[in-house]
Amino acid sequence: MEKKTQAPQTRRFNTRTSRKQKTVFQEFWRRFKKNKLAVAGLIIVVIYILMAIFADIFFSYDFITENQISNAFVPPFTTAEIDSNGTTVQHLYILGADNFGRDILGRIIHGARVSMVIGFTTIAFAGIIGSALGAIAGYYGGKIESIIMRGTDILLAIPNILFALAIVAALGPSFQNLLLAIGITSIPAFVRLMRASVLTIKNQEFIEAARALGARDFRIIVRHIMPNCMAPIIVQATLGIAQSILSATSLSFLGLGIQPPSPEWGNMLSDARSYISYAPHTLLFPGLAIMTVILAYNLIGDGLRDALDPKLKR
Amino acid sequence: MTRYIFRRLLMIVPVLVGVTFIVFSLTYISPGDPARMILPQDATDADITQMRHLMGLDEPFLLQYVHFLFGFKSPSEDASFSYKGLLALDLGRSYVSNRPVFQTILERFPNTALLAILALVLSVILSIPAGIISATHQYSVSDMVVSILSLLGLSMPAFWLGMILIWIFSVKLRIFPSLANPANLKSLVLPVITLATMNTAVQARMTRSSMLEVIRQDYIRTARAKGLDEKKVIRKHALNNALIPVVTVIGLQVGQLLVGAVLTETVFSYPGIGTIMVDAIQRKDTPQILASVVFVAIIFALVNLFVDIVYAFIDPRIKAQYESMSKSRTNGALVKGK
Repeated sequence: MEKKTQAPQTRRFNTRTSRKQKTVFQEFWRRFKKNKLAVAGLIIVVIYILMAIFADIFFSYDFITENQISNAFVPPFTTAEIDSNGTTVQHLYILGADNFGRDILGRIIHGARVSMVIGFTTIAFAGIIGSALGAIAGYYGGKIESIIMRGTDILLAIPNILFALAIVAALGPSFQNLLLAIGITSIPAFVRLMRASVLTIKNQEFIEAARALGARDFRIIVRHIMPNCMAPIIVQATLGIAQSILSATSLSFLGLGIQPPSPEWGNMLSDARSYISYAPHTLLFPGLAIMTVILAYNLIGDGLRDALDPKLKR
Repeated sequence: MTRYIFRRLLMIVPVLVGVTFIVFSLTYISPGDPARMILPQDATDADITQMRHLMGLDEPFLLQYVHFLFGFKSPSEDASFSYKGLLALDLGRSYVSNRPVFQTILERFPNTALLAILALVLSVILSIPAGIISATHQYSVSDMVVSILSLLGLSMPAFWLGMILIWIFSVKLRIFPSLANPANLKSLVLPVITLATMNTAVQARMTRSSMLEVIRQDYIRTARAKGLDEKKVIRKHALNNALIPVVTVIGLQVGQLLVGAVLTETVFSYPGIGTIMVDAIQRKDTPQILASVVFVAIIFALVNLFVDIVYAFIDPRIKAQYESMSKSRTNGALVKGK
């Protein structure tokens, strides 16, 4: 009798694990790649990441921060003489030059590095802290939960960029402060998401089983609860990166983020603002760079949501 | 219903205390010394210490926060160092203009409110019909157009869009002015479009997905099965239910409008609360920064409160929950009385 009931169970268990090892990612990928827009977004993001990594190969940092004042505002596809370490060389300005004669394409490529770093670090920071707080709040409940959730409510009560603005205004504009400001303002979304998913999971049988086997709270949270709550967190992280990049460019545009001459899309636009009628190309391209990268992350986010949504699974 | 509203009103108190506390702490830890900023360059250390005392800056942190809320009486003869505190909408004077900070804010806030309300109206007018059409004609050309436009709107930085609009409509076509002010309605067209774009995109996407979800429900099938006109099904049965989450999103968007206003106002040099804030930050005008951030945060919290209450009126489920609660209580009382 016992054998009879046990045998099918173990078999089912085995097939499930083997299928899981083989295809959880493949299954996800199969669904994700059906969404052509999301794949396009992924390709765009990969291109931006490669641009960010290999920025120095395309243009040296010194070159794109150095003024070539005689070439100021040359239009796209102009070849002009530039002064490089005392010697004059011909240089093709593919996207033209800005008000100091600096190559716009080069500055956009180096700006990609800044934006990608901001996007990833702030969301990694906010994702880890936010998920941990959310998991603790959801798992333990009671007083800890009230404290964490009231804190989150307060953070959510200050509009995102406004809060980042206040932090940067208080601590002074610098790269680290910008990261800190955007990172902190990104936390609440993760806390709420994580708590909500933990609440739906924590009373399920496999958690009870883990507890019965003597697992400690930390292990239960990290090994059993968190992996089962990852889907909404991954989607939020993708959309959060877009939001972070947008916040960073906005703050830089206001003069509170990355300071010139460091290349950043927002501060390029801030410079371009004074020359709208004179040199529209200085305005057009950095904005297009921001738009495409945000669009790409939004498309990926939508695609991930569809691919990871358990409601649509099978 | 009153119980719900009352509870919601009570909940806002700790949030406001927290918000003011955070903003106050930020200014407290900021490295610039206000006393040094006020005094001339050649002031001695003794002068600065004296000034810090007159401004109440030598008090402990928590006491300074209490002053911030309830007012501060300076030992100095000069009345301009005293202020009545946030609760009396008085946080002292700007270091730059020497005017009471809230006077400037209250003067300029109607301008920002005008911009935000116009943008909100425009975005609702555009986004809800667009979302409905998109959902009722899923995968049609109009659905594609709405989806693509709303994705673009979502991805465009508002300040960039504003500058592109200036380039097209002010520089090239010379239809609208590039500088905006509230007295000239024509000059508001571009900033309102700029500000409304992101909201329109978010709301259209929300309306679409919410509508799509509702249309698949059983009661819609029932309505269709009993032979109702499709227009009536959509208008009477689907829309009412689909709009509930949209209202929440619109409420949350009001905060985004206030933030977007900071950028939009900067682009169009519009005299609103956003330009006050940016100017104050660039000049390290601490009382002005503090007051404007707290002010916007409070407005944001109040708007959210208002949205939540409106929400209770349009969502019969919240109403029902509270009515059944009070009913069961009165029933219980009756039983006990017997």
